Amino acid sequence: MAVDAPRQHTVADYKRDLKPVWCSGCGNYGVLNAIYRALTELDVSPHDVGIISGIGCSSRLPGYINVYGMNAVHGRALPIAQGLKLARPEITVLAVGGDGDGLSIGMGHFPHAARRNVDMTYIMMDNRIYGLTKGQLSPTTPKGDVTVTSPFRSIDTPMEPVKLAVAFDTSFVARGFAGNLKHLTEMVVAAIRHPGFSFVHVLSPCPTFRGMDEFKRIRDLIRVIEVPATELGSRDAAFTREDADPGAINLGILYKSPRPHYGEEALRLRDISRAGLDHEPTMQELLQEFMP
Amino acid sequence: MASTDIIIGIVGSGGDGVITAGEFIVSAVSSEGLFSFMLKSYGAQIRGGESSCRVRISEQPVQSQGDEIDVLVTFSWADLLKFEHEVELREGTVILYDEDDPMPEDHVAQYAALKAVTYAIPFKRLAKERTQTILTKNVIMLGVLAELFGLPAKGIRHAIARKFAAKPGVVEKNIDAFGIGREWVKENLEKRDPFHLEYTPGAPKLVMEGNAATALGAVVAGCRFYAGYPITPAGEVMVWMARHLPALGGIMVQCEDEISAAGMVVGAAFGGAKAMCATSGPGLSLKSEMLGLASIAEVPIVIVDVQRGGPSTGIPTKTEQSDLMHAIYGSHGDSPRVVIAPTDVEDCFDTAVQAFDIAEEFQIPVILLSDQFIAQRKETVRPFDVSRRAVYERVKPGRAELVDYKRYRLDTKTGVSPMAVPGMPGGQYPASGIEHSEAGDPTSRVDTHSALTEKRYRKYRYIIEKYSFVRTYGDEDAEVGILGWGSSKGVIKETVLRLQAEGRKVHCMIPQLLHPFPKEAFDRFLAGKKILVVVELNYRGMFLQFIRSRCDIKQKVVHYGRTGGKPFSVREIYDVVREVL
Repeated sequence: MAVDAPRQHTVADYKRDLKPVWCSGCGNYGVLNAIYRALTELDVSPHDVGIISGIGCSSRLPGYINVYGMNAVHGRALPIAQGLKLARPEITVLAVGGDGDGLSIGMGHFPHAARRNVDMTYIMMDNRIYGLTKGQLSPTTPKGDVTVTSPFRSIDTPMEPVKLAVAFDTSFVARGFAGNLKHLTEMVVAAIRHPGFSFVHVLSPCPTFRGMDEFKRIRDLIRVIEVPATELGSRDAAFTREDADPGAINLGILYKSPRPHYGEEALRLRDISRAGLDHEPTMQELLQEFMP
Repeated sequence: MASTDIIIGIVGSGGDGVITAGEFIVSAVSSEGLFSFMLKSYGAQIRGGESSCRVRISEQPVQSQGDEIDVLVTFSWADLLKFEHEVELREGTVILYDEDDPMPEDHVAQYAALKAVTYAIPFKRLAKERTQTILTKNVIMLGVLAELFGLPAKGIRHAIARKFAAKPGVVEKNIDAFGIGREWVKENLEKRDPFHLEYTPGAPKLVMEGNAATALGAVVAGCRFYAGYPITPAGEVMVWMARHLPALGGIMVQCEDEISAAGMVVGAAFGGAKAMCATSGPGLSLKSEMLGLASIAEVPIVIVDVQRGGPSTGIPTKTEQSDLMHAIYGSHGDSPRVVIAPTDVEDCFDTAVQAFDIAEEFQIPVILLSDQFIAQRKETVRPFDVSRRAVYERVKPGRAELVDYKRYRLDTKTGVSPMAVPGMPGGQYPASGIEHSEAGDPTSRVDTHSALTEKRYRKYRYIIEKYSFVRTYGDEDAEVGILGWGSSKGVIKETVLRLQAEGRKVHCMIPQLLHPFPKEAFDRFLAGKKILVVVELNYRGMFLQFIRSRCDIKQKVVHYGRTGGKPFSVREIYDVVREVL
């Protein structure tokens, strides 16, 4: 058996000089490191990667990676990332952002990205709070929590990103924890390798607005699981697993729905539309349809 | 009497085939080398409901839909009533109606006063008795028109055969129906009107709608990525792209919303593709934030706004020129963008090519401000060469520039910095909607914000230098000048030609580049004018306000603006200008 070729890249190749704006102890450092490591493991050249984000603490991430990045508009990372991938299929494309970005202002794009199944990876860094705007209730803040916009306690039911992703029939769904770098790196690698739209929900604690013990609180709840391949395709099993133990949060690859991705389907359309034609239509030929 | 310029109006219900009949006429006369111009008008119903079209035919290039209707066909008096504000009849108009639906009492006197010539024709009965279906009554009607007014029979038969090519039985049935209409006229009708089209056949010309012309122009410019969301009256752009982009190796994505469509386009353009989306007013509102992003991140995108009656839902199926302010100013912050306006169907093609040229050369969002009047009308267009066009590609960094690459280099003459695209080694940079340094790093430094804003606006000077194309008609030394923009060009030009034919001096200018403002061209035009007539299809007077904000206008100004729904007629503009001459 042939020995794997030595890697062309090291973690240093993906780092940029810019110092993150994140607070000390922020989970986003863990996610950033996991992405560095995942890209290194995949050995993809920095210039062949595009990372698109929305707005928020976590959306600052593209500035800290030496790739083609875009820190764009609040909630709109997914459309921009899909546009990039569809125009440039050979580029490895990631969209990153927070829970407010992806589940609140940009929620409308998530089910459609899943439905469209463009071959890209969406990493949601969920800190259960709006950090950049200083501590407002987010769509994943637990009910009953006190924040600056729920000073007497939150009366809103939180969203569950993984269950949503499963409901949307996202072709790859995984969860990781910013405090478990090795496992998170594995999840990001698997997500990028997956041909189709992959979603990684990352628990990325915010010590500043959710307290210094948020890390520990989450660490006590998580359990790394290995879902048997035979169960990965079942939505019922995925929901049951998520609900089985209210005191536990599952980390791992949680759901898969493999199918041809949008780029492959688009190529098929190309063949269908060119049926009977041995060449790309010329502009002069296009003009013919306007002849009376 | 020979007619060289004739206007036919047809009114009916959804199932009457009114629009199809109009399209057959346009196709037929264009294949004979004549010029034509067809406007459609519908009620709000999805299917059924009233619909109407008007077709103007001439040997000379047709500038507008013209004024009053020469020949009116109505399948239903009730439907005609719904268009009473759009269908204007002339003295001596010819009216054809179905004998099944007799003329209401109160119309009789009205038409007598107009000296109208009326014919009751058994459209429905002939269809039922002779073709066993009433579906052919529109084609029977065409047979009647062809025989009565000299429309090209061969061309109409050709159009029928082409339309129903996939259904051979249907072709025969309709060709028969066409013959039945002609025969009936020969055997039963005594012609009592003077209209008869006289022309010399010439080489066939193209038939296009503005939306398709826009899409074709984009593709010729190199656009291979289109993202859209269904909206009236821009839908045909997306439909055309869906049909043609796959074979061209491109991608058309139907998005979940207008924001997503603009986002996809930003992403694709960031990736190096030439990308476009088309929408109407409500969609442009939703895309405003993406426009700001493309502006600050300097991503070349093209957004087509096919204007309709507004605000909010407004009148989605009808035209208005009321998105001007939104196109120019609609975004928060100092956000440069370019606004250009096509003036007719062929111009939709040219401006689409140009929109991409400007976007690519200057790395700036470009809004193509079309409207329903040109987007959805069918017009005869002289055949043009689509292969000859040289198109502009964006400037990319060379090897030397990729060493310590600065995406937003400040020290360029035009404000345009070479743009690396993903896949280019050494070109990695973070683009952002957040203010950034030359290298693309986020910053809140006030000096950087100031320098980068100046850089982004520096492009304006060079855009104006290169792209401030204006159309002028009439006498340069006239004291009365008319200013208008976009789809108003046709009626304005025809007004000028009519006044010139009467020996009166008038001058007009239609700018193609609206923003950045081609001030020199305006100042040149204003010099020597004593009276200015400003024409625009909106209530607020947006164009006049915009010009006033840029030029020191000392002339007496006559502003003629009104809400849309109905495009201007030549008579309307003629009367306004005649008043001041």
